[in-house]
Amino acid sequence: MISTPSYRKAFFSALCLHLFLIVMLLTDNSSQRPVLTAESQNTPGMEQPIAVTSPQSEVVKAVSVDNKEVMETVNRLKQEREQQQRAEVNRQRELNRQAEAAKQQRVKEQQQLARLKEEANKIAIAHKKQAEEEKQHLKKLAEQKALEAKRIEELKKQKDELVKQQQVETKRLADLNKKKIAEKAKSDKLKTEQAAKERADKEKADLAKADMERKRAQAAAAQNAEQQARIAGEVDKYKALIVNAIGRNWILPENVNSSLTCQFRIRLAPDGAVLDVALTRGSGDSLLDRSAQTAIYKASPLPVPTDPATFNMFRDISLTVRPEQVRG
Amino acid sequence: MINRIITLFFILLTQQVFALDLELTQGINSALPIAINTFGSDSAAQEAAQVIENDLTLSGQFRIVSGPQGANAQASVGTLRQLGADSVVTGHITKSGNNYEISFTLTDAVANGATLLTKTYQINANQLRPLAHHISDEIYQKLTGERGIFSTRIAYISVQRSQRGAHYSLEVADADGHNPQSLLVSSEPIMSPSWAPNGKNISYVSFEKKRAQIFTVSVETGQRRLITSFPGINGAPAWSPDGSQLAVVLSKSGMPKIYTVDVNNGSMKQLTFGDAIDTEPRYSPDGKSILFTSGRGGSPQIYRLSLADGQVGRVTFEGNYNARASYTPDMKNIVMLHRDDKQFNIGLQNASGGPIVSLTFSGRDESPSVAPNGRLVLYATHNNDKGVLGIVSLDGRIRMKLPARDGDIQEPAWSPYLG
Repeated sequence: MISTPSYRKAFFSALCLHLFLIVMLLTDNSSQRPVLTAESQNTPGMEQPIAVTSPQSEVVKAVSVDNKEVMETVNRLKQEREQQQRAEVNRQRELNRQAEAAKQQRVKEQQQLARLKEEANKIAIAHKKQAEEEKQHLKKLAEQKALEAKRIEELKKQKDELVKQQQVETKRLADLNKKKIAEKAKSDKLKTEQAAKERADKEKADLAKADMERKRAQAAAAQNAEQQARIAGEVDKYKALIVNAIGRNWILPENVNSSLTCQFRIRLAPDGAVLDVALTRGSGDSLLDRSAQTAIYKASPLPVPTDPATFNMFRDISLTVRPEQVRG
Repeated sequence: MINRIITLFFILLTQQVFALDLELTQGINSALPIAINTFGSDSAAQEAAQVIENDLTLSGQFRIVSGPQGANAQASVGTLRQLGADSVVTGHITKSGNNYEISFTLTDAVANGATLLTKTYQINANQLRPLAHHISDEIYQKLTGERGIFSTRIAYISVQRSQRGAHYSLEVADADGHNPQSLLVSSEPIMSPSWAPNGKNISYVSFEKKRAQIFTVSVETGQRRLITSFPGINGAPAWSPDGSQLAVVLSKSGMPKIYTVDVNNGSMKQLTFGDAIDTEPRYSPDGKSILFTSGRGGSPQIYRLSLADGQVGRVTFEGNYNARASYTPDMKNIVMLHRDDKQFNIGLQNASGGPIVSLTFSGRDESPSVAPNGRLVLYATHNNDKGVLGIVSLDGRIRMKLPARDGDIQEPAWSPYLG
């Protein structure tokens, strides 16, 4: 039979099926993991709807009732109701109290608001007053400034007047100065004219004298030579006398630098009086210059030759001062 | 022919303007004659004029010419010139309340009354003497070209001896001896006052704790500081020119030796060594060396210590006793106490060596102190057995004594230029 192909197919199929069934029956195919099945859903917090049963038909069924049980149940029910009522009352009282408290709070807040408003008013009034005062103060300052400006104007006017006066004064002084300078120029001119005249006269006199002497010299040549020698000697003598006279009066400044020199031009009158001392070259040390100048003035009148001819050589002398030696 | 030449020569001579050239090389060293015209007739004016007169006389370089006798009004410059004055000081004082306005004019009496100097001041009544000293400084500087010392001060020790014992006082007075102020009073000796270079402090030795201690005191506030207080001698303090060090004599190591003490941090350094007595140190004005008295040569002589290398050299070789030496400010001379044949006088020697010249002759002179202008020496001497102060000029020409005070005055010290 197995050799028939259809039989074979049926046989194997049946075998497989039987094996399959055996396997299925013997093994446990249940999974390991627990699986949640929606048998009953428990949502917390929600009240389970109470199944409302339809009102039963009015069928009087007399049932024996236990009085004690009923009384207990009634009492229990009463107690529960009382409890509920008390709870209600308490709740109401609580609510009332809260309402009162809230009302008082509100009143208080209103009062505070009223107070704050008052204060705000007061501050506003104070501010207004301050603003008023400031305005008045500013007005006063403006007035003062106006006064000051007026005063400054007046002062400026006064100053202008003074300046004008000063200008007039300076002009007057300038005129005076000019006059003085003119006068001085005039006197100087006179002096130079006089000096020129003197010199011219002297020249004329000298020329005349020279003429006479020439005539006399022809007679005595030896006498002329002798006179020249004598005058030269006189000049030397008087030079030494003058230097000594000045040196005797010259108080040297201490610690003076002995390498310094200064130069003076001295004009003498015929009697030896010092007419003028002029510093022609300073030494750089004003103390030294002044000490020499003082000495020259103090030594006046200087020894000069009496002979007019020889004296003429001493009218203008130049003195060089060099502090080399100190005596006593 | 020759006559013609001669007359031509004469003509030429007379035509010249500068006929002769003269040369002056010799003058004299003499005091400048000056006259102080009265400043007025009230007491303030007389005091001012008197102070100026005294100051100029004290300098030794001026000779006061007195005005015409019995004249209360101011004499003219011409009159004073006739009397011999080369310069004239004229002044005015006006008083308003407690203040004075003082003006003065210095005129050159010889050169036609040219004004050399004129100034005006406004002061409080109690500044009259200081202002008069300042005017003297101005006049002195204008006429001699040097800075005046009339606003400087002197410090000295005054000793009052009585039956109960002695009473010592460290005093500071004006350079003319007036206006003394006491900085310290003690029944035990005070010695060796020395001015700091800034003129604000004085160092001295005090025996108030029955032993020697060196202090410095502030002249203005009187506050003092203890500098050294070692066992034995603490003596002869001398300031360095920069005011930071004091050279002192200490005998803590046996013999008196010279040390320096830093005034600010107190650090000390020994300067001289050896077995002889070294004392009386004095810094040179350039701060590079110290002069001191030492017995290392057998007798007290002056030696010089070079601060850079510590070398000591001997300075004096004449006489058998030379001590208390100090340089003049220009460092050209040394002034010292010099004994010659038992006579103690003030001696002067050139800094580079040479003979010692005696400036004073009383035989009882000591403690010389040189003025800051280097011209005068202040020293202690005796007058009829009383200790007084004297001043002598370096050239020996001027010699004078300061006004006497109560008690004996000794150990003077001249301040540096102040302010």
